[in-house]
Amino acid sequence: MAAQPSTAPTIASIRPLTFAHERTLPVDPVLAPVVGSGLVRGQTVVCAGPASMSCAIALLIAPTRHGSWAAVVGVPSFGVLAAADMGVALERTVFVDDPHRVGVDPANVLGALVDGFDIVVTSADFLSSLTPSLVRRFMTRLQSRGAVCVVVDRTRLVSADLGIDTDVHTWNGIGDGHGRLCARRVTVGVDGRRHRHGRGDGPTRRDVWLPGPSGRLEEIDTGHEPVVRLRAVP
Amino acid sequence: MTPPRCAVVWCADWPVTAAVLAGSAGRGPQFDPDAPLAVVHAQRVQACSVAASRDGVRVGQTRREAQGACPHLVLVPHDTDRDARFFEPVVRAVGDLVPLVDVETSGRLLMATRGPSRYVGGDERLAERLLDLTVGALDRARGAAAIGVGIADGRVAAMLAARRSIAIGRPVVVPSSSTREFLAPHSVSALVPTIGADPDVVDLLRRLGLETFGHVAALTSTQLSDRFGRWGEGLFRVVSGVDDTPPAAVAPPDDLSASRTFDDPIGQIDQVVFAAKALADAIDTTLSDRGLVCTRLVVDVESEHGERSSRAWVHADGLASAAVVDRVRWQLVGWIDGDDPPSAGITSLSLVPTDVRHDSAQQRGFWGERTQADDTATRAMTRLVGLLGPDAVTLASWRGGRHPHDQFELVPFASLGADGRRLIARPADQPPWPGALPAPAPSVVLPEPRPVDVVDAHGRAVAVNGRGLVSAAPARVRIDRDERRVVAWAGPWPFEEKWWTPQRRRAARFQFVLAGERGPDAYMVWLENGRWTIVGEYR
Repeated sequence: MAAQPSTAPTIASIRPLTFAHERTLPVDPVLAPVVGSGLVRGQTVVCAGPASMSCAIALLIAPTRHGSWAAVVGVPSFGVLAAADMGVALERTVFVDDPHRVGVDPANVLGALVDGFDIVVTSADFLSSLTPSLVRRFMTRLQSRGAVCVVVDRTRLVSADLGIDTDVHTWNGIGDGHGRLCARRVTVGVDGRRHRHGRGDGPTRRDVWLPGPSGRLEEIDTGHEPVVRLRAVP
Repeated sequence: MTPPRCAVVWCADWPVTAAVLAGSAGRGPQFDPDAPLAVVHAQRVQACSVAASRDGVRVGQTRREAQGACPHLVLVPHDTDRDARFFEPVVRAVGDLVPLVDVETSGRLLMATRGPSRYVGGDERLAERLLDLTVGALDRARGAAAIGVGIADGRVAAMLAARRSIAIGRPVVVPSSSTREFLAPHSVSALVPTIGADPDVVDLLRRLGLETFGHVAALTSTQLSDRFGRWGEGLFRVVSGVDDTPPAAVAPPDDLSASRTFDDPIGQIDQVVFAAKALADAIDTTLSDRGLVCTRLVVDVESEHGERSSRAWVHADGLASAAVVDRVRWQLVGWIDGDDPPSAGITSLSLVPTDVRHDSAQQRGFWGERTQADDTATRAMTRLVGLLGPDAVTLASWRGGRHPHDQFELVPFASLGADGRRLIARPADQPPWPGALPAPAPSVVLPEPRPVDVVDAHGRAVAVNGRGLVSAAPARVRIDRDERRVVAWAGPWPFEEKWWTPQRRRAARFQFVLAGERGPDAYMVWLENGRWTIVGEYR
């Protein structure tokens, strides 16, 4: 019996240059074991829980440092200093005023954002101020343009392709009237309707320092609690 | 080599004249041309009227100095569009006589005189005609406009002749043979308005004992280039009457030009300007690939009915794409609002760089090496600025400070690149700011602090005394109706700011960790004037 000819060459020849799940934006290596090796373009990521904003900022670190541009719209309380401390490339992070405040149709603004930026960070509050049909149009355009939308906090209006949930474990360094906030141990877990990409059978939950003692996102090195080192200041 | 003979028409303190014209045309507030007026930009006097300069107001003074010299000085807002729009009639009037006119800036025209002089019969006749035409075009602003016409060998000499002509009130023609003698007595401070020299360098020349053009020209080209590099070499050419940037009267090379035709005639200036941006970017890329910058550019616009507006724009430092876009807008505004507006939409636009030179020390874009993503994002930001307004699109620039909300300032994207403004990155080895709380910073900084109540175990409000001691350990925090237990707290870290001004503020900073449903929540809380507020959340 003749051996079946391999189908691999045929598959290789008809394969598109890149599959949709291969068009990704990088993820910080600390989050990668649980979030996956990349954020798939066109998807919506919802960050929830008591560390939602830090989590959204953490997602900006790797893409902005690799040359992608991020736009922040409808998040007036975005902590710029915290983002800088975490390592976000602020020279590629653009802050856009809420179109409602200026009295401009948000549809055009959202269109321009999706066309020009790889990541659009927004908040549940901002999305709730839009009509559901506009949010749907925004998500469709996001898919066709290959941008990633990061939403801070959950909202009924958006069904997350990838949901990142956070639980705060402890705050280190602060006591009863002494010390100061130093590091926060956060449990990061994922859910959502799409498969996480490039994660394999990795865990669905993981503990990280978000932020660590230097303000950065850090891996938890068991046995070494973060220590604040004093240093001389000129 | 003798530089080509040029004529310069110079309207002194043009921004003031433009403001007066705008007022009399009903397009802005009315100004009395005989009153002391000054146009102020970036807190400095940019131009002032004759009456104001009589009272001691000088260009370059700060606003306060000017108001000190002349208490009833009327300040006029700065508006480059207005300057361009009301200069258009002058350009048109002169353009009727001399076809190739370079607009150096609003208020100053430059042209080669060889042909026109022969046509009208001599330089003196030409200068008088130019003065008549300009005065005629500015009829409505009589009194405010001081106009000078100068003809000499080379651009700088012609400009200085025009300046002298403003002072004496009649045209000045410098014979070819005596350019050097004409230049020699001029003070080196004239280099600032003529070749755009840095005032600091002029000051240095002074301190070196070089007071006049003659003093500088007495040195050698080598000595000057030893001290000032390429700029010194250029300076020698200028002061000795061998100007190296003559206005061009030659046919432009066309391989650098960019043009676009519109199938649907465009009726809105913004759309044409938007198209011009793309063309200007393309030219910029081509030129910078070859290491060139454009110093003179002709903008040609045509309407559906065949009306045309063509202008040459000159800038000795080179016209970057943003500068080109500005000039296209000025030209369109001047044309459409002018006496002879187009009767139909715009169908074609072309940009033709006619003079280029090697890019010696031009700066690159404010993001350094550009990528596709940078270009896409820049276009998107430009579009967002168009939709939302210039202040609505911002980027973070470091400036340092004590609090999370003032370490970075948000700089409008529209202001970047202009006046050399750029983003400042926080230095990698920046030590902690004195008085700032160490990292981590709150990830949420509330634009409006949220008032809360902080009470001790007995329900009494917690206070901080003058020595920075808390009255009792905080036990509970009431946020709106929600009362939450304090798990941990730290502080107070008092600060006192600007105690020497009425904006003084004193506050004590705290960090609170409150019990939450899904783990402890941390807050940055301030106590100021007896009121507790949440200023940031570690969310």
